[in-house]
Amino acid sequence: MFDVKTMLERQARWQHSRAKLSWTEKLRMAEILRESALAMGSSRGISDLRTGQETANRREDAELK
Amino acid sequence: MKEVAKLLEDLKASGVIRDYALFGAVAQMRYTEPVATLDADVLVLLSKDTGLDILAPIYDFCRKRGHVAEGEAILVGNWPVKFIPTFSPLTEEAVREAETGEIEGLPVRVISAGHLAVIALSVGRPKDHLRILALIEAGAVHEEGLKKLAARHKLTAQWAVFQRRFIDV
Repeated sequence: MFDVKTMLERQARWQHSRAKLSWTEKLRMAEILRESALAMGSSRGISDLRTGQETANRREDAELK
Repeated sequence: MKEVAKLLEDLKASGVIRDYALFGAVAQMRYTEPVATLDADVLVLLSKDTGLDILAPIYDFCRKRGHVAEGEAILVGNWPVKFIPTFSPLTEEAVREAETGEIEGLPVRVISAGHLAVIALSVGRPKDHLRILALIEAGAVHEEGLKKLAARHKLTAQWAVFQRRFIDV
């Protein structure tokens, strides 16, 4: 039988182990997460989160055309 | 992030700002597991002689160092950095009582876990509540300490709501 409790306990242990990493290491991981998110969301949404300016530039480009 | 740490220390040393402290998700990661974020937020105590465009001296300093503005942020290395002037007695205290951490061997000011949690409480969005829970879960803050800090900044009602919704369940 699938043991949800064991799975959650394992996940909690993994999360705690990641919290013990150095701040520098955690920031490196965050950079990788961000780059992945930006690559996946290159159409809309995530890039707009990164900078509202990108949206404004696209609007200006569209208006000029 | 090393470039960000260097820039922030240089901004302070040159007197462009009186003090600063990293906050938001970048600060949170000092205390919890890594979280996704798109930028680095920095609380700044500005110099008293700042004009109407309060962030102009910071932007000028950064431009001279080759860092360009990107929307509301300034791109430093591969991190968009958002400078946010202190906006309340709580955020001023958070900067004044910030700790000194270390990123890639460089010292950098970062707000304490307690101040981070209580600022999140004052903002009160769902993602802020998640931040408080993550800090509690990591053992970086304790409920009694948060309750006292919240009370000192007139956030007792917000703390009571948070406690009822997320802790006493």
